[in-house]
Amino acid sequence: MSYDDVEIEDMEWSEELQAFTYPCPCGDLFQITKEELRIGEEIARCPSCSLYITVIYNPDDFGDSAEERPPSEQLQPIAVSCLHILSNIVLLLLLSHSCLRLV
Amino acid sequence: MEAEESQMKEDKEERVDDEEEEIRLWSWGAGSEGQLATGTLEDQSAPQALRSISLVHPISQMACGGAHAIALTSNGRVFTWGRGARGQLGHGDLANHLKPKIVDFLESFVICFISAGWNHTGFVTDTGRLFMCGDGSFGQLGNGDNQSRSLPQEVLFFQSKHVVQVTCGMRHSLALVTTEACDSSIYGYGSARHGQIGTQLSGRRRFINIPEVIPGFEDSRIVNLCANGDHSAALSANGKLYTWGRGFSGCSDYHQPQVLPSSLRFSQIALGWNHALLVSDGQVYMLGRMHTLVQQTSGRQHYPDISVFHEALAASAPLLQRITCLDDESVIGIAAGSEHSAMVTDKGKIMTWGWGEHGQLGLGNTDDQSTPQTVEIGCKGTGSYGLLRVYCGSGFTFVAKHG
Repeated sequence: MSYDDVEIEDMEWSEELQAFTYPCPCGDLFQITKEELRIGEEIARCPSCSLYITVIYNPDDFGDSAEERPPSEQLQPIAVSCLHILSNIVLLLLLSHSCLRLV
Repeated sequence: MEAEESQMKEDKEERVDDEEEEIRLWSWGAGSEGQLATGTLEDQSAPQALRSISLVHPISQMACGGAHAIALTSNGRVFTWGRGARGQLGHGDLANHLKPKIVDFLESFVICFISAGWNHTGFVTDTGRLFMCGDGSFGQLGNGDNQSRSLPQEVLFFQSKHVVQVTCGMRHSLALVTTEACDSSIYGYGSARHGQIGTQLSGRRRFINIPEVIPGFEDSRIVNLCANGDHSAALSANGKLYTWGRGFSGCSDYHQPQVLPSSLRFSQIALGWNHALLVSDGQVYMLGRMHTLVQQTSGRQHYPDISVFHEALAASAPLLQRITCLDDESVIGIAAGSEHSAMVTDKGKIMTWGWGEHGQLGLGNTDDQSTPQTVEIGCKGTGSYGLLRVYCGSGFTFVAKHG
């Protein structure tokens, strides 16, 4: 049974733990990482005891289409396809050039 | 500090000669941050007699927070230990301390009241000044910003006022101020998320970092304040109980103080994260429920040994239950951790119940208990029974022998 339902904006981001945290009645902290939120996990656990809380959040804020996503991951596919196009153009140019020479 | 330490040593040497060394402090429960003052990080499920701790002057008050503890001695000095990660110990660093350490910064003051919250701490001087340290992320240090502080800092708002009590919750603080005419007023600051500072904030504001007076106490003289978790409570001189903040037993949050409709006159209050303990005429009453007991009792079932005290309450008001396990004994002290409870009777009997996973009930195991159980601390000397008091932090418990 979940100890409590806690909204994500009531949790605190811990740089040290790289997780959102909320006080646990045992004295430790309930924790959930951004990666866990991204894959739809809603349970934040305490490393010191058996209790856990349910985190209330909008999955869209952490999902695949979210702005939260690191820029490198969002830009990568575009960069890759650009490189592909560029390299293809170069290849075509080289090929056509060599073809013209042969003629 | 040196003088105090050398006094402590002398005191210790004298005590070594005496084989029947008197123990004045016991601890048990969660110990992972050094909060038990045992010098280790182990949890303890049985009472630990803290033999090596002799503070020269007897302890006059204790306060236990999320994972730190404070002892105030009869000469107005303050010792802190446990978790220091947010500066809550007031030593100017962020280290944990596994043994009591005097707060040097306050040596030139005489402290007369203390409180420990989740990660912050308050100290009141005999001249009515209020100092605070620790986590300030929610404005709970009251100095107009959201900074944390590792040294006690005076709350300047109260400079021209006379503070007599402070109490620290999870993310908020309350201060009791009196005037020369014996009028009292309560100020709240910190997180307002569940109404715990007694003020409904406008728009998207979730906290205030400068104290604001809580309306609703104009006609009553308040003598006692209490905060824990997201709850707040006050007791008036004529025994009325006011509560605000997070609702008990699923009731909605209260942003203004509410008087508990009861004919009883309450003399003591202790708050957990989901329950409140009250003393009236030597009997203990409870509002709300400790989490683990909710799990054990499904639906509307009640515990076998706890009679429900209806008192013709309005249907929306939380139910007041009388704890009926004591025969000819009167309760003189109560304490509430986040999810456990403790009390001491006039005959020196210590009893605990609630959540026990970290050994915080002191019964030698980690079981939960739905009814109060007797804890054996092995305190000698029947004449001093009335001097024992219990104190609970989130997941740990202390017993101190005062006087």
